[in-house]
Amino acid sequence: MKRAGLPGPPPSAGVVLALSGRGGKRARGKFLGRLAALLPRLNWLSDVYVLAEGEAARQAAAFDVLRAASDHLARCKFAALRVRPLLTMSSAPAADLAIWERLASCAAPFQHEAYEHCAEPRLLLLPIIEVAARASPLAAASTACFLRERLMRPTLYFEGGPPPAAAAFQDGEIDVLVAPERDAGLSGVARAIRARHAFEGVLRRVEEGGADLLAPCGRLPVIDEEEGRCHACLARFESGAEDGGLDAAAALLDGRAAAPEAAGCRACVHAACADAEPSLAASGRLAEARQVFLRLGVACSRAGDHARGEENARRAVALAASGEERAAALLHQGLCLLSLGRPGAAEEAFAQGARGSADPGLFAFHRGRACFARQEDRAAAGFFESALRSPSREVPEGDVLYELALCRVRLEELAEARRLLERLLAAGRASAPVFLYLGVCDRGEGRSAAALDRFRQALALGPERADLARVRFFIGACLKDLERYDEAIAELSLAVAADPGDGAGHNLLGFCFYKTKRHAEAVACFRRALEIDPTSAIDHANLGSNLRDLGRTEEAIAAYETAHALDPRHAFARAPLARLREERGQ
Amino acid sequence: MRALLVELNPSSQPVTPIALGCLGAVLEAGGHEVRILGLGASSRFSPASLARFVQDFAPRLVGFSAYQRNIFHVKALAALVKEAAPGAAIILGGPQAAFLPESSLEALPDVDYLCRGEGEAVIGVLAEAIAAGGNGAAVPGATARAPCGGYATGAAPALAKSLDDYPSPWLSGLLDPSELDEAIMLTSRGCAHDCVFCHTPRASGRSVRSLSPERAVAEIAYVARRGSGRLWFADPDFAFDRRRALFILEEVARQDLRAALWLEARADHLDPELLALMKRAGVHTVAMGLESASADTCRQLGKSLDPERVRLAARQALAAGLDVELFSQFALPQERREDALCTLRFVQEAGVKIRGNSNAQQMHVYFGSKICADPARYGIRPLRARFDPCLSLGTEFETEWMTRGEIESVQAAWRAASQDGGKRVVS
Repeated sequence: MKRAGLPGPPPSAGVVLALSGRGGKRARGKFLGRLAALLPRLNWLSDVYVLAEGEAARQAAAFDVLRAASDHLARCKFAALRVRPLLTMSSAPAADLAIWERLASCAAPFQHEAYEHCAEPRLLLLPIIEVAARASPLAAASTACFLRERLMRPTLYFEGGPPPAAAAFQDGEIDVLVAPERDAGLSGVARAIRARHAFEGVLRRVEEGGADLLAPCGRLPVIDEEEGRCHACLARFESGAEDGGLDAAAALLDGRAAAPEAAGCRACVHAACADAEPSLAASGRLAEARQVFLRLGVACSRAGDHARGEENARRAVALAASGEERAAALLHQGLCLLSLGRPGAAEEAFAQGARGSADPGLFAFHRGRACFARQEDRAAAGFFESALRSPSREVPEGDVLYELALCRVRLEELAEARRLLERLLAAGRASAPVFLYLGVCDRGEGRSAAALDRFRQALALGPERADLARVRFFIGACLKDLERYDEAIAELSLAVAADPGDGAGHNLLGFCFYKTKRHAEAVACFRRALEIDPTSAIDHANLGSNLRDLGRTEEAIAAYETAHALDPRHAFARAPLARLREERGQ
Repeated sequence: MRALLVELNPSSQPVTPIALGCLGAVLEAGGHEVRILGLGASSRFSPASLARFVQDFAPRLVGFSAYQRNIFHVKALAALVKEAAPGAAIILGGPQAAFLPESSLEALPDVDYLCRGEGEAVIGVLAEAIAAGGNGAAVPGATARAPCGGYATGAAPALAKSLDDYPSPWLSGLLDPSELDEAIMLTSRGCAHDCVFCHTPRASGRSVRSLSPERAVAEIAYVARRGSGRLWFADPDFAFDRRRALFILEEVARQDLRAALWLEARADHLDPELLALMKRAGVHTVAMGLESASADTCRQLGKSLDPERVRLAARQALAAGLDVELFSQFALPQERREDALCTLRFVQEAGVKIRGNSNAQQMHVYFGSKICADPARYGIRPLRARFDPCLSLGTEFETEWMTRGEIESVQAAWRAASQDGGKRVVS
């Protein structure tokens, strides 16, 4: 909309407060004063994480921030906060009851307001409860239920791996966070929160559809009370990278601070989603994890990052709950492997996927592509034929016909290849590659004049850069076949200019120069061909013939000798070499 | 004068505020500078940034679209505006404002006016009154605090003879379709029927006002060519006038706009010829109001439409290659739990997918409806003795025929049958 929307960057939709409490009451009071000024800078719907070390410090921090949040919401009655304080569950759950009741009392006024307004509460309490190592997981589950009955939505946090009785939580009703391996203390919590935050961000984008899944996550700036520092996001907090003192907090929450480098964010989101998997497994959310990994994999591939695409697809395969889900993930994994130049592994993935898929035709097509990449042309052709026979609507018929035609060309079954290519033309899929291969068929069957027309049609359709040199090469080759050497020289010169690394082009150009008795130019061509492939016996022999005709006998003999040494069966070198030696009286 | 028009949907995505666009176009034509904010759950703004924006823009007139679902957000936003721009006059419009009791202004201390009539007819006069400093005289179509206490509601506003006389938010350039994923169109408004759950009959005096077919086509073509091509019609019944509908659809098809259209129509206004033309014009979905599969319940509602007629129209629409959505409700007057579950079966048997707008919802009792005026007469039992003056009953009721538990069980049955977890698009 013209003239609509709020100008300026979007504010942060969350903040992490790291509060040690070690500075004493006065320092805390000062910090809370700053916080009161900062909360109105947060997005109107925001998350506030409250982290501290030690049971007492956590409780103090939680209640201090809740007071500040309540004051803010009382002043700003359209805003809503989800406050997520990190608290500790002791090994004696009954002893914690007073804390939980006090926590509930903080949210009570907002629950009353929500009832009056027939609306959602504006202060939601979502405590992260660290479960003591000695505490029973069942007692933790029971604590979670207690809190839920008081309209809080707790997350149970476990250090040192998933809880032993994770099954107790896997109905999806109780959220569980698991500290990543080797991480303990605040950095473990921070990393687990970052992982979950990144995952939820991607999941939201997946559900909304259309969004860029690889875009940076909605960053959670960190304000560190004790250090008096700000960090632009949790990843920077974990690594100790500082983004200014507390004065920088306003700019961070306003969204005015400089955005981090996008590639770094992409890697972070990718790694964080992987880190989130144990927590999601313990929370009974593997179906969502599978969905995210699959879609994230597709997004990575589309961005050209097939390695990460494959990694995500592999995770989605491992989490698949049905044959169809597994097949979809394997299909994507196979496509990534194909793009990574690993057709063998790709074929294996497609083969596995085909077993669980209701659409074997699509898998047959891709198995054909993998076999073709491995130059197993007979097997590839079989898969393509099978794809064409399948009733699948997903099989791209034109692509299958084309790939099958290429197989037939490589198998030198040119009549069959021509039939397939002509089917494509009849279906309105005329393209430079189709004419290119029709020309290859014609020329292979000795019809150089017809082939020349085909190649010229290919050229007229504007072949892609990678095909341009080949098309010109074949035009030159046809002209050579037709003994129109001067025209051939013109085309082949363009071909080698387009692809200077093509030895065959230099060879053919050299041959045409030889036929027109332009031996010096022919020598230059064969020398270039030999720079590309010094072991080419025929190019050494061709060089020898042109040197001989230029009267440079010694050089010619040397060239023929090299050709003969490289391939003693080569009659083209052996006979003239014998003649030259005889002329020299050897 | 500067005018700021705001719509906030706290629990759904931001949409094109077409109604605010219509008001904005009138204000702009009157020489005022207009800004429109369409905000939703995913919109990113902070109280501080909003206050800064209001301070910088310094509007004299701020209008909010008010609904049951956002009235308290609006109330809070009004407080923010008054603090940031103390000289601004605040106006509430939309369905909630139209029928709020006068006394609700007591509970809305920062609101200056409630817009009661056709928005375009009221806003221009109101803007002039505000620009002139407000002399305390009642403004036609608006309620305000009277200078000597109490409230004053002006006479009915003078309506334009034709909706064509109001400037278009699209053709005037106020709304830019190129910035929208989907454009909301409004080519007609009002309803000639008298359903007891709906406020539209009272708001429209049971008459339908519409843009001329030529103007409607001009707007559709403009939006389709400049935007994404996805158009969503907010008209209560696109086919209320068959000749008009035929003209518009023929033109849309003839101009080959390649647009994807969603529209709603009464089932008894649809037939195979019209549906085929809809398909040709690019309509992908036609929505119809079913309300209940029980003919008796529909009669109680004043719906004057047999559910079997809806079944026939749904079948014809599906045969024409259109997607069909059926709006339905439960906890209706005289509806038992079994009747409500019959509605679910009816929708399934009609071949309609239970998703989006075809997810039924509990009847909402809004201000302006006959049920709201006299709930007891319709067997509606409020669940609480007292409501905030800004709120109607909404869904806080049970009926003589269904307890709260039964209503929840019907809701659960719909959710279980839903393909998308019961996420209704239009409330």
